[in-house]
Amino acid sequence: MTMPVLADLLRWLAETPPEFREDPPLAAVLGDLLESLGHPDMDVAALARGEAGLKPRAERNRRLWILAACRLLWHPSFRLSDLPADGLRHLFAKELPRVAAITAADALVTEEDRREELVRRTLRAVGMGLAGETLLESEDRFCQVDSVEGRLVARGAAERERRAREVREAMAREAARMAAARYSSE
Amino acid sequence: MSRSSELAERWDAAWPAALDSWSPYTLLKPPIYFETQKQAEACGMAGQVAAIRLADQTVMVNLATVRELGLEDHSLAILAHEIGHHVHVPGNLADNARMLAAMKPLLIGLPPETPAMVANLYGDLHLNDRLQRRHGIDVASVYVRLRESGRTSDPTETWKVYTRAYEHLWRLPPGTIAPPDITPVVNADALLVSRLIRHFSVRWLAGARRFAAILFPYLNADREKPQTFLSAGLGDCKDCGQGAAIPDGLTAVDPAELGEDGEFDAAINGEAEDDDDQNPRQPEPGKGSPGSQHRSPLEYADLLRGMGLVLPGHEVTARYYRERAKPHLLPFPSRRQPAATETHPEGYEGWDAGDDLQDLDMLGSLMRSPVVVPGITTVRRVYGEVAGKEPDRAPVDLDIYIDCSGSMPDPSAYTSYLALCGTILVLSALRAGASVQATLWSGPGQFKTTSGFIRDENRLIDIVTGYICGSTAFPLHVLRDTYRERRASARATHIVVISDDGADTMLSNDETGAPGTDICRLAMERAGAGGTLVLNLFNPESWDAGKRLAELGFHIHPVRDWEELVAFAARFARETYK
Repeated sequence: MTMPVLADLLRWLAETPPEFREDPPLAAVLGDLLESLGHPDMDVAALARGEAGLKPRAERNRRLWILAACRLLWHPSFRLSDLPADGLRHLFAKELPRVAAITAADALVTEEDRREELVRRTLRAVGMGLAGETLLESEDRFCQVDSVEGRLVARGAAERERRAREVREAMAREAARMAAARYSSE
Repeated sequence: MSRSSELAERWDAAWPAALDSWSPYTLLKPPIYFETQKQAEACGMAGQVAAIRLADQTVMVNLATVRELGLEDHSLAILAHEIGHHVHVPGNLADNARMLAAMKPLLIGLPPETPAMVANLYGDLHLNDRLQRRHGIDVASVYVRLRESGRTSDPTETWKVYTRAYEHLWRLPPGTIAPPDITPVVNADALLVSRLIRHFSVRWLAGARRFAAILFPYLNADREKPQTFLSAGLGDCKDCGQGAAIPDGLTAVDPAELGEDGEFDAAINGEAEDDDDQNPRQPEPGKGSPGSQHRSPLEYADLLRGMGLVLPGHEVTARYYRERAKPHLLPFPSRRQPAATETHPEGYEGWDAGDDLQDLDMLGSLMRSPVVVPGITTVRRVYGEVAGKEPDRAPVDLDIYIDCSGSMPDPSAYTSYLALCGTILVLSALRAGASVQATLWSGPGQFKTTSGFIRDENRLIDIVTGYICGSTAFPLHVLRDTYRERRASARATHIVVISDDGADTMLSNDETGAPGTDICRLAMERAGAGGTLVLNLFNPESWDAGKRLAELGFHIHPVRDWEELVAFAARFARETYK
């Protein structure tokens, strides 16, 4: 199996036809793709439907991320590959909804890091690597562009900062109390 | 600084491989080695293992400490680490300053040297992880050796998080590097640090704030205790900025300092949780464009202090306004002269040995005598001037009066758009070849002036950004004396007054009782290139003096914020060119 080249995949994504961003019927696009990848039996309707309860804007965002992944998987590098059905199911049902929940699909147009994230997320899901990259390098780079990880780290740090702010406020109160005590004793 | 010891030679032999670990193209001069603590002390490195100097891209190694700690065999890891400070984190003075600026607001209340140490810890984590993981250099064993040396036997809380983070990064068994008593909370924070280091390994500046936030409680708990990191001799960036020139670009807040997105701030304020799964973060067009936010002069001065750059306060202020003004320099006006003169060769005269060599006309000298005897046979050409056919352009001089009475903001504390405006005008005039007279004024007798038109940029900016903070009285005597006996052939001058409603004192009487109106009228006539009042006025329409000053020929521009300053610059250029 020939490993795809990152630059080719990024360019392929950057040249996504505008129709893909206009929210075409997901089930049809997904069905075509899975059939051509040799998985006509997968439950396309369930994958396209996603989880219930999302607001329209969030649901549209999820569809746009999946459509972008469909565009990516139409790249010739994947045509001759035997992509695992489980990996694809995981990508469409779990991975992409997770990233779509925190990052707008518009970022795929404006930020190269988001396009790279989609490439790497997709390759991880289907168990492929990139040409000229070791597994270690691949893991490190994914960690750098992983917006879900970025969000979790930001949240963790922010929670610590809230804690730190409370400490600082307590310190300020204590300093004020000491100053007041000194003033009144004088 | 002897380099003859066997250990120094061994370390020197490891230098090329250390450079190579970053890139085959990395070029740095070989390190300086100190054989004794006394030698190292001269560079503030006593007890340190190694250090860097960003001013001249130097790596320094204290071999005495290396021997004391038993690190003789770790030359590659230590040298590659120090090189990393020059090529990756912080890489240069400006990025070091930005990292400190990003961390400082989150470390308020801690000792002043804390941000520099936290920046050092953060940089070390990035460098060591990269060396250990990507380049296969055994950095972990340096920390193991430090632990064995006993220097870290009484660890601070900060050291515990820091070393435990390495264990997470390199999947080492607990206790390999970190002290044994790691609590679950410390462990969780160390894990978060390790994830942060990996996630921000390329955009490292964007992770600086978050790192400082995580470490704050530990640093606060360690207040009464010397930091293990420093007492183990690892503070290699402690004074890395000393002796360096101030880097450009520090008045602007780099978007990366703020984390490049609102995620962290939103999360701090508890906003992120609310919109999860329903309202994905939209890309923010335009946010973070370089230079879109600026520090105040006080923050700028504080940043320079944090970098170890100690400068007189006013020099810092002048530099701040000069840097902010530079992108906005104006095409300063010039005037057409009736006709330019052209040089015309008129013959020869003797060239003496003391004259400029460039004036010597060798061809003329040889034509006079084939034997050249300096001062006897040597000649130079003499040129005369004849009226040319092409009209010439001469720049318009600038006569600028800056109000620094008590009602004006202190430019060294707050961003003063008027001082910035003055700086833009002065620098623009100088760039166009004009001369400038600058006068800083406040109350009667309270003024500072260049006493004439000069081209000394430093002196002019010193005056424009200065502050007296007294009462308000325009220095009519300076205006009067400048133009009273001005020759008609003198270069045209544009008069600019930067003030607020205190500019109405231009219409008062001078110390001899002469009306200000007459003085202003005479000055405007003799200056010959108009006048401008740049005023911090909130309601220019209701300012009575404005009408009278406008009748005298002054253009009045209110400038109270950045937008008005930019608008003024455009209008000024347009009006003086029309």
